[in-house]
Amino acid sequence: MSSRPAGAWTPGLLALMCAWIPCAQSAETATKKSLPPLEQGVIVVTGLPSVIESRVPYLGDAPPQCIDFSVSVIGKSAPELHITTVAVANARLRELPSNSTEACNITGKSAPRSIFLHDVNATERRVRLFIPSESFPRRAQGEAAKLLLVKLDSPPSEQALLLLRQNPEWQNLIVWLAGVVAPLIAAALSYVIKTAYDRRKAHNESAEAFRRQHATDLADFFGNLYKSTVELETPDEYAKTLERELEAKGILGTLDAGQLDRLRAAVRANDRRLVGNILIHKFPENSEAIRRAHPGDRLR
Amino acid sequence: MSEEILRQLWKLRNDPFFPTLDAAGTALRPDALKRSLNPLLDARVLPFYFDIYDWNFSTLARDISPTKGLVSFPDPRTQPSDSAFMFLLLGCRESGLDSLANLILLKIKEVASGLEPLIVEVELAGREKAKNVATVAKLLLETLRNEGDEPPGLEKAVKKMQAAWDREYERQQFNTNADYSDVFQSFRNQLKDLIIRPLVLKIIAGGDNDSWVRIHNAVKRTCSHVIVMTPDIAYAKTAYNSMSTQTQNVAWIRAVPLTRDKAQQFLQQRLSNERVSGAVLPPTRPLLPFLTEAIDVLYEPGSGEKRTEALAHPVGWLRRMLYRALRDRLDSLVAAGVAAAALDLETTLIGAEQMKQAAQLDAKRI
Repeated sequence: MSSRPAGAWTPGLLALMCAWIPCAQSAETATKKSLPPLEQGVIVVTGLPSVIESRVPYLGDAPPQCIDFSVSVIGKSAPELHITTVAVANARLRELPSNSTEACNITGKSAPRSIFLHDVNATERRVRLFIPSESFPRRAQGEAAKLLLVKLDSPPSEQALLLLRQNPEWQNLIVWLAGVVAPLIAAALSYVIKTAYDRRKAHNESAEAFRRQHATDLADFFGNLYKSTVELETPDEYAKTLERELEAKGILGTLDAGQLDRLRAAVRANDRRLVGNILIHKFPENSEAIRRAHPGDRLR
Repeated sequence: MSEEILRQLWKLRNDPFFPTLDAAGTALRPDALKRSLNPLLDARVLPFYFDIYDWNFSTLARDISPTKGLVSFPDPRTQPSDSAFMFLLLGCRESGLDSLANLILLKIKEVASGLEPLIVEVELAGREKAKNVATVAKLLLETLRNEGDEPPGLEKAVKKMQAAWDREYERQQFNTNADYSDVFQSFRNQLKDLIIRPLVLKIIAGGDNDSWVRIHNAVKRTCSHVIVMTPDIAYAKTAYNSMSTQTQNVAWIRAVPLTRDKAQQFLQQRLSNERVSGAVLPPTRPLLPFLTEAIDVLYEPGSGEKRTEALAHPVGWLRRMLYRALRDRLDSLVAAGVAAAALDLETTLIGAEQMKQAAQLDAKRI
């Protein structure tokens, strides 16, 4: 529970000082109306906040709220004072013995919805208002409620209450994430995807242009020098020669980083079949020449 | 003193790796065998050739004889007249490539009735075909210019060729696909009745299969032979494949590094060539003064080395190692000051230790 300091008490006190005036009324309005005769007795409620907040925890349900306040009657004592709530579902009330340390949930289980205090005079009587967590509204603006105090010989006195549910930080965080961060991430992600797509598209276009412009050279390379290189006996000679030639012919430049790494790894591992397959994939126009260079490898 | 050890103990009349005298005792030209063998300078080095070459892709030029050099060689009378014969010589440093090129040049001289070939030696930079053809043209002109006016009229012809080249180069220098075929045809026309010596283009380094084929196309009617020396097997093979489908005028010869057994044969041949006539060797010492362990130590794999193929060394490196071990052993025996007759043969031999030292010294020098 959280309570409002200073000004939050003001309407309550005014109401108690003049039992006929509703709490929501301003002090100015209150002073203009006629005060009740002191002989009838004035109900005084202290310690009751006008705003009652339920703070929802990060995990699990919110605990019920127990608000302890005091009631007294100045002037003529009241043989019977009836206290109940309006617009607070399942609220419970219990008069507390002085120095009671009863747990809040105990109150909720056993207390009635309204209570009668007998022989209420200037001596403060402690009362507990139990509000279960589900009574707090989901709406951001909260829910208006009332504490109603009825004395037989005078009109009922009302104590205005505002019930608020305080959402936990993470809910705010989720709202913030959903509202601000998620669109930003989505925008960044789409930018990254688009950039990657554009880059890939540009890369593919430039690779295609390279293949078109160097069609004769590539046909010559795959039909001759590539074949001689595949036929080299030692893995060292093969790797050294092929890397040098792929670089010199500009073929490595047509591969993206992933393909380049895969091709280099295959060349260095002397996996001639895999190299052939990668090159067929990249240079479909030269697939026949590449296959001829790998007669026993059964390329795709 | 060293002569005595060589002759009396080791039964050698000469240093077997860099001999100074032939079998008849006449001095050999040192530059004919200093680095590589060059029978063009001194034909008496022919017996020093040891056949380390793979002739499988050279049907017309093949096999080595100690008297004739190459046993067979393409006869120009049986070859298409409009195309130079191209020799692709493959091998790494010190693998005997220069010696093979000299053997080919000797044969070219022989088939040209003893006329000395005019050699245009070219080192190509990079793989740009047009640029490489231009380099050949420039060096061809320079070589011809260096001949002066011999035969008469050459100087004038070269001037015309130079002018034709300058015009063509001015026009084509930025064309990366230029083949300069017109200007090379003009070269041929200028030279055909003038140069009777065989004109040989020798590419000693650089280029690739595309450049060599392009160069061959350019000079095929100007030069009689093109010799390409390269350590790159893929380029050589590709050039061979590509040319052999168009013309038969191509041979690809590979200088093969020596395995242990081949190395022993090489040493045996060198020692046999220089044995004192009538020498009787101890039956257990056929490689006198070398022990077989001396060869073995050169073929021990290095630490941590995982090899699938047999270890092999280029012939030039092997010759240097053997020479160094022999020379060091000889020097140490001479330094000891004991007369050759007083030495125990077994204590003078070159074994694993001496060879290891020689190899280590060579490694330090490098």
